Amino acid sequence: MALLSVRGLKTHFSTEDGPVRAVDGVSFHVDKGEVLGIVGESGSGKSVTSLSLLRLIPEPPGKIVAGEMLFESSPGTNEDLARATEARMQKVRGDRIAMIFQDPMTSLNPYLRVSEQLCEVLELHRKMKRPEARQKAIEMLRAVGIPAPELRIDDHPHQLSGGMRQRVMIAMALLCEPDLLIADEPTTALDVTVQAQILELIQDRQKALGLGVILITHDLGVIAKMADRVAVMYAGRIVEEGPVDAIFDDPRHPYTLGLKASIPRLDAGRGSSLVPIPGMPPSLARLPPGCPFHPRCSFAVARCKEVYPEEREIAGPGGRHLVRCHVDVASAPAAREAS
Amino acid sequence: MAAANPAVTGTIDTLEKGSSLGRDAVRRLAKNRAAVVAAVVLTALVLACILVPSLSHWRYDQADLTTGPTPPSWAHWMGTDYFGRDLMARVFFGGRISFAVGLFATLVSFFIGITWGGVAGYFGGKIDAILMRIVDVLYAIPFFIIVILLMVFFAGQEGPLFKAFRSVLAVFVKHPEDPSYFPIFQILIVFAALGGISWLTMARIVRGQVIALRGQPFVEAARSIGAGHAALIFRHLLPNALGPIIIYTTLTIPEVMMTEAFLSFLGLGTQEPLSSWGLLAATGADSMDLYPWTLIFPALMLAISLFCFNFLGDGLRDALDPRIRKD
Repeated sequence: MALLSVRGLKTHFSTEDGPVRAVDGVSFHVDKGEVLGIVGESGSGKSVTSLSLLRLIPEPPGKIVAGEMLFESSPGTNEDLARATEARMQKVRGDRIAMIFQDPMTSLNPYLRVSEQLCEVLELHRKMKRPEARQKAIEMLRAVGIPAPELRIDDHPHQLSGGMRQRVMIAMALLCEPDLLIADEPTTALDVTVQAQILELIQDRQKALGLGVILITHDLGVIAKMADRVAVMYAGRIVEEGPVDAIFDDPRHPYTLGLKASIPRLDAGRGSSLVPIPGMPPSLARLPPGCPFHPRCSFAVARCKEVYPEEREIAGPGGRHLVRCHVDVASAPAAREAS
Repeated sequence: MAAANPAVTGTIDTLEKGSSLGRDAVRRLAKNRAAVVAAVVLTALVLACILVPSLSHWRYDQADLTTGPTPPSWAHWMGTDYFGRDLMARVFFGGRISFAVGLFATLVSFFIGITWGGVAGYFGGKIDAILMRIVDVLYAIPFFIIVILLMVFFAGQEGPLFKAFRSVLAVFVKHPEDPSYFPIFQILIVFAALGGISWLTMARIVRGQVIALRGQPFVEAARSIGAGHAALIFRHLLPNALGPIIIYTTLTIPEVMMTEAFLSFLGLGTQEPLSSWGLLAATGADSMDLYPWTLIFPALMLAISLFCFNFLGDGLRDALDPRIRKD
């Protein structure tokens, strides 16, 4: 049984332009000790998906309108987080499911010392007293590679560098030994060199603690390094999902093909231009009928404009590989200039 | 801002204990000479108000009709008033009431205003609408008319409010019918009226601050570790709004003291034989051409303390918000 299995999740926002279907029927699962990567452009609904899992969607205007999120909170028992009470969610957050945010510069409270922010987690979930919590917090800071943690713990966030702050965020997330870690673009705001360190740290902790991880990013390089399985999101839905090797070596959705082709490569030689996906992601308030990717798709056929494609399983090694596309891009004669 | 902080550039080897935003602010405040002088003068004034009436061998209500009004002398440093009462004892005793009114209104605005605005801003939606409409309604009530009505019709010697006050008083003292309790009762009415309006602006300011802050990522991060509503409002949001709160507080104190003085000047606030700066100035103004010192000293005290509060407020604003520093 999966650690977390999400079925048919729909999170909509009501705006002046009508309902925005930010997440519109997403299903996936994460097992214990597995890293699931979710990729997609800005506005594809990946962050809303992660916030929905912890029920952190600001309500109103947002609302989880359908779906279930079965979480194995203790061995053998599943609870549906979509229906859990707010009081129950407060117990789950930070204890069983923890989250790391994109921008470590603004995700720590500027007025509170690191010690206060770390101890708060332990006081909330473990009912620890301050000296004991402080000791545990120092150990955790050491485990995430912060030098001289006994001294750094009394710093304010503005005294730490971006990489250090992200380490503090990771320490905060791991304090209660959660089962599931949601990392929403954990390295986007960091220097490339620091990025690699932080990714290694997450990977190291994930292996050491047997964490399930949902890693959300738009960076395919990060996915290739970290993930076991990948889900590609477009316009609020998962368009392709499968083992990381299958997604990289044998992508079956035109959007995944486009993403792969648009990665800048150092070995491509001077003067070779990047291959962008033409057009813009559609407005989620006014999605085109049929497959929302069809206006940008070089493989599109007439049916793409009318019918949203059903999930189709691709035969291949290394686990289930699902795609939502009418066209079989592997054998399609269509222009493949994009890949 | 980060570059201006030496702690950020320090290497790990320096291992200095973190300097907090609060300590930075105190350091910046200490550099502001006007604010430091204002703080010192205010402290001295408050101390004088606490000590002088107790240490002086003149009592604030001890009349000596044989002396009558006398100008400042070695016996009476600020002179005596029409009834021969020592003006210095009266001025500093009046200072107690003036400062107490300011302090009380500030406490009300601190606790009610901040909680009210914090809750409204944090929850938003219907709760916000209801709480802020209550503030709007209270704002719309003409304050002075209400106080005048209260004092004239309900707070008279025979009014129902004073009867209620006396029955409460009976629990604590033997002779609640003693007429000398009436001025105390009237001061309580002034306190209640000033307290009732002093928190409105604070609630609005805090609400605005909280609305601006609640979208910040650190609030979302705090929710993601399982913090409840109370922890989010009082631990994460309000401390971040502390700058504007402190500044507005230092501006509330003189405003409320001014209002009290004004009410007393009109004869609606503090009553004889008690004193407050407004009341002393009012009686002094009646005879300013004959006994000018009875007006000058209380008016001077009031002016100096209002002046100092405003300077201190300005200094605090500059110290807490590095963006508007003038250097």
